[in-house]
Amino acid sequence: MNRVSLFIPCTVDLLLPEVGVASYQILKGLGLAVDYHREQTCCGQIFFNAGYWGRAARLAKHFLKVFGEDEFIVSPSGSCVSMVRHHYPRLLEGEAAWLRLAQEVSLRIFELSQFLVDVLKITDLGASYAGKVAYHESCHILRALAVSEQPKRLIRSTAGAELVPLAGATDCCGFGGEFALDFPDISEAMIQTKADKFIASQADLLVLSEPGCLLNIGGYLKRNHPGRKAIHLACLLARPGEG
Amino acid sequence: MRSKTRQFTQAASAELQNERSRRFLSNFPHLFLVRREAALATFSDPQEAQDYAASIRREAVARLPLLLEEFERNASARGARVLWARDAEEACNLVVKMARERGIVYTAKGKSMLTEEIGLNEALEEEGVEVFETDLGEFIAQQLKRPPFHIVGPAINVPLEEIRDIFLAKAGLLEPTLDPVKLGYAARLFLRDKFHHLRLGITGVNMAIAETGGIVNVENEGNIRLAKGVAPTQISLMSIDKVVPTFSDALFLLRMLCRNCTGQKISSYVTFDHGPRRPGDVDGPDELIIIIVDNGRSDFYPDAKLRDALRCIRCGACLNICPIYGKIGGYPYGFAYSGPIGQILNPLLLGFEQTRDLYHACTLCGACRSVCPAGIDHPGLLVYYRCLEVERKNTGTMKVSGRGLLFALLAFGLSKRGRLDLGVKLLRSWVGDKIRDGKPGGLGRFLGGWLRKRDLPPLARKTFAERWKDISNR
Amino acid sequence: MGRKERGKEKDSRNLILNRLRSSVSEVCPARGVRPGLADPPWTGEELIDLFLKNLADLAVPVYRVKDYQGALSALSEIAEGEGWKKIVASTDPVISALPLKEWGRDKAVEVFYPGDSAGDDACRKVLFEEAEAGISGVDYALAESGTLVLLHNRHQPRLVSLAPPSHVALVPASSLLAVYEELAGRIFFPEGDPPAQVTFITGPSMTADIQMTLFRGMHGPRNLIVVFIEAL
Repeated sequence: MNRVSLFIPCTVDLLLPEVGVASYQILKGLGLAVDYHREQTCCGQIFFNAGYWGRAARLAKHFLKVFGEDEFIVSPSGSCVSMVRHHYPRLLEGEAAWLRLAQEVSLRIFELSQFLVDVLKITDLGASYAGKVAYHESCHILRALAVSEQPKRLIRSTAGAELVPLAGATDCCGFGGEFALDFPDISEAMIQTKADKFIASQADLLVLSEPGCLLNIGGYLKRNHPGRKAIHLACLLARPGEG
Repeated sequence: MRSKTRQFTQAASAELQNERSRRFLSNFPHLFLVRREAALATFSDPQEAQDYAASIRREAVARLPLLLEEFERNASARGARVLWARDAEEACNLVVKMARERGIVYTAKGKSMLTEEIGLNEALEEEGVEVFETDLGEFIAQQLKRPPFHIVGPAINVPLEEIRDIFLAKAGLLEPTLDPVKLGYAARLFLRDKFHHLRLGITGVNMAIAETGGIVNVENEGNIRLAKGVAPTQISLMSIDKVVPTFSDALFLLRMLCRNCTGQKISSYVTFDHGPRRPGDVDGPDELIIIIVDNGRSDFYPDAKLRDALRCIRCGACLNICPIYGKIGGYPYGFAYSGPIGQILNPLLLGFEQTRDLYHACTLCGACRSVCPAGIDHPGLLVYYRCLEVERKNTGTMKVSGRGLLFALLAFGLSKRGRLDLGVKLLRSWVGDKIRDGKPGGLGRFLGGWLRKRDLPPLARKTFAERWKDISNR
Repeated sequence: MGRKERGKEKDSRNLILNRLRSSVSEVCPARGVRPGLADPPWTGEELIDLFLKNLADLAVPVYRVKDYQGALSALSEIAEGEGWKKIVASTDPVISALPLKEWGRDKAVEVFYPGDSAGDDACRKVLFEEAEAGISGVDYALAESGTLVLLHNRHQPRLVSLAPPSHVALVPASSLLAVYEELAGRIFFPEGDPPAQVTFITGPSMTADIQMTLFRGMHGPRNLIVVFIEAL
């Protein structure tokens, strides 16, 4: 393979563009031709989760029109990949042609670390970071995509980086989209625990591969523990200057 | 049982402020999970075992009416009397009537979530029949008039001081003590006297076996065995979803139930009842009455998705792993069932209007689904409830919220790239630099509680899409 | 019950079943092979070892004896240790072959058979208030979890193994089975009537309902003691 199509979720596009840039740099640095379809918008996950299935289905069709021809679709968001892979077929089950397309695309879309390790068989990207790193296992990456070892292997192969254990690494950080807006007390209690455990881990950096978690954990750390940082895995692995 | 599901958010916030609850919840659910994992390791392939249990439950639910009829036929053939109740009121009336006909003044109960659901205790007490919960946790919860904190350990969180005080006042504790063993022993003595002279024993049912007509009770304390061993009349209530196809299926589920619940290979006591005592038997009930309760379940059974809620075997594993239950405990769910399974069942039993918070208070992390031995897809169901809610709003049977209009606007903006780009431009000119410091001024009111303890990154000076040209041309 | 109520009840039954019937549509996929526990099948000594290990994990004391003579010696030791004055016993096949009455006379322990005075208040009083232990045989024992299986009938009252503070179970080696499923054909057979109650006993009565603190003897026996008889 020599071409991949980059799917940049709306959160990354609008709020975390550096994550998209890093993803691009990684793929480009590996010698791949990277396509970015300008027409892409949003996978529809927020609508699906909030119960607006009609709106989600329309966005799904838009997505399938944009990405339907691509051989490999890669995205720096596990929950968006899970949306396309698992929920599009469910949303479109009544429309045979769309359903078929959704099922085809579901086999061709990958979360970034999964694509690097499982498809490209690459675990060492030549990145470096001097310090201790903890990894937060985002719910959708861990449970919906069953991706856990892949990002950790990529961290371990980063020169100078020491992956340290994080207590409660698989516990939800309390994001949940609308949840964080509607149930702030509970959400804050969850993110507080996550932050406390990160700090207790003695790691310098918290790495994760989900934009939603990054908004939550990063936003909480910035406000309450300005010295501690969370970054997206792509930003750890990318070597600016390449690509 | 009167529901308090509308007070979810309020009750959750109160629990979050409760230092004791927080401390307790930071330990105990995790402990159960560790035990669970060790117990499941006794299978050569734990996941395969979980999947097989799920396939039993799936089949049981798919063949529900056939299995119920088969169960009724076989249970009757063994001499049990099988009655049916459409709703809570009918079920309670049946029990009250039988108690009255037999001149019952008090009854001892085994732990049963169904009887909490239908409010049986209240119905009996209203008719002057005193009810003694005999499971230690239920007994404490009953004395304190508290809802269950956990479906397996209803009062497992209650501080010793509170138990001491209530036992001194109501359960014959003679000297104040904070020793859990002494407190337990006081309850034993108090309840033993009730068992000694018991005329009516009431129990729930963990499983009903279609193939044999038997009912199964799973317990550790022996209170259910006593209720079924002493009283001349035994009434066992089951919801329609308790039936399983075969004896072997029941045995397999028994393994999974106990391992997922308390991390035991099997609980101390499991009893299988097939009819009342036989002629010549020294003890056991003269009559075994089984009441099969629907209470709204057949209303949602036709929906093949909702039907999955009936697979639950009440092991409690989903509560123990739920990150939200782990913060707020069982009280805020406001009804018999708490945690993820409460979020699934309570809306179906009570209606969506008064349980809206329950099916929204979930991050869809999927931890519950990953441990469920019945194969329930909790997050999938909750999202489906939200979809049904939106449908009802669209057809005018539920009130439309401001959030709905926001979503409509958002969906319009995201439907085409051009619209999205335009939206970004408008937003920029509106918000300007206000968002720079992570506190986006007037935008805040659309962000609910997000900003109380969190920053939000500013809207990108250049979105990824806008940057693409520079990047790719480099 | 009047005719009207009976009619209403029948209505409820039919209403519920009809509603369910009208929406049964799902085709059930065939189930796979029932997954097994790690490392069965166990046989011979292995089976006994597993059974005894499971009992040890539950902190159940076990007396491993050759025959009835050994069982009586074990009982004597237990009776002495616990200071028994009065016990109740089942009359199941394992126990009835044991000269318990004579043994009791010898040891000054009163042995009471509930079957002798079916269900009256005096009997209940002995079970709930006077007996210090209940002695029963078992019909089966299950190695996979250290479980005793009692089939209740006129010779195996429910309360003997439940009401007194201690339960001593005599377990013949021949009653030992590997896994639960082996019970199916033994308890239910085409023409047979299963006993009104079958009980699985695994360890003593217990609870952890107060702050997760373990308390043995919540409602049932605080002590479960197993006498495992090799030659039976």
